[in-house]
Amino acid sequence: MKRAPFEELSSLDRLVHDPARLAILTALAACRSADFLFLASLIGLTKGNLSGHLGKLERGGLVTITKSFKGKVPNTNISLTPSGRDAIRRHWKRLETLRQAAEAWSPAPKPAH
Amino acid sequence: MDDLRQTYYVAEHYRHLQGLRLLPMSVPFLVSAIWRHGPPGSSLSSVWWGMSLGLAIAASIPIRRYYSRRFGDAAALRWRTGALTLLVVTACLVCLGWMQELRPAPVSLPVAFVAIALAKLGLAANRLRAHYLWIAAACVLFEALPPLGANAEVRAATFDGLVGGGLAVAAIGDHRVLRRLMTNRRVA
Repeated sequence: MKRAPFEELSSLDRLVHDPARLAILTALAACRSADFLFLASLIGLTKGNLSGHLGKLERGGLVTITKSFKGKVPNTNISLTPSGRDAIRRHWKRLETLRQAAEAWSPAPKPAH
Repeated sequence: MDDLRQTYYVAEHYRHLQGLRLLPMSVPFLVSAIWRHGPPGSSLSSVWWGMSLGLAIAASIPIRRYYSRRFGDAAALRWRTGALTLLVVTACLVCLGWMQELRPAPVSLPVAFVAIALAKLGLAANRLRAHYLWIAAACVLFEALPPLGANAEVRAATFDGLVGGGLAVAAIGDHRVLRRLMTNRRVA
């Protein structure tokens, strides 16, 4: 039996679909790389929270984190890996498909008693 | 979803949204517009233009550093860099200017192109940069000057005022948009 679009939502990749991580990946998909301060300012996460999410994304192989120095100031640069770029593209496509399916969806009629 | 589209737009156009970098560039044009109101034929020398535009470019460097310190840095995708945009726009303006000389049209083609491009920018991302619509409207009004009987001197002064004023409105508007989006966002 074909599943309703709302049931399909449960099969989305949680690593990508979490609101904060989805925002991070969306921002990174729009540029070549971004530094830690930019992502924190744009997405509105605290440093600790952002760091935690980036750690999860790095362990999942979706982003690469490069630490360096700009003069004497430490700089953390983040970019999407090719599989990260592919994952966010696929995720957005899937969300769009689900949105269209939800718009077209109507509940099955109840059986008559 | 709209919020994420805005996130994508800001990350994609971060360098363009660093509006204050444009502000020094508006000064020479505004000064020139005022200067042209002097005795007939008064205009600023090319040396003055060269120096003031050079200073404006130099002034944009510390402003870029300010944005870097305040909001961080993001490297634009290769086909989204400011230099490429500037190159494409300049090429289009030169081509249209050339076409205008070959076949004179009732409206200035380069100004019409700028008005359309600015209107498109103003309507993008749910009218996030709606201030560009005002500049586009000013370009359309400028196009109406010859039919209203404005002479060449008035047109030249108005053109400088339009460029200077347009740059100032774009600069302050973009800065306000960036500041609002980078300081008020919170992900659930």
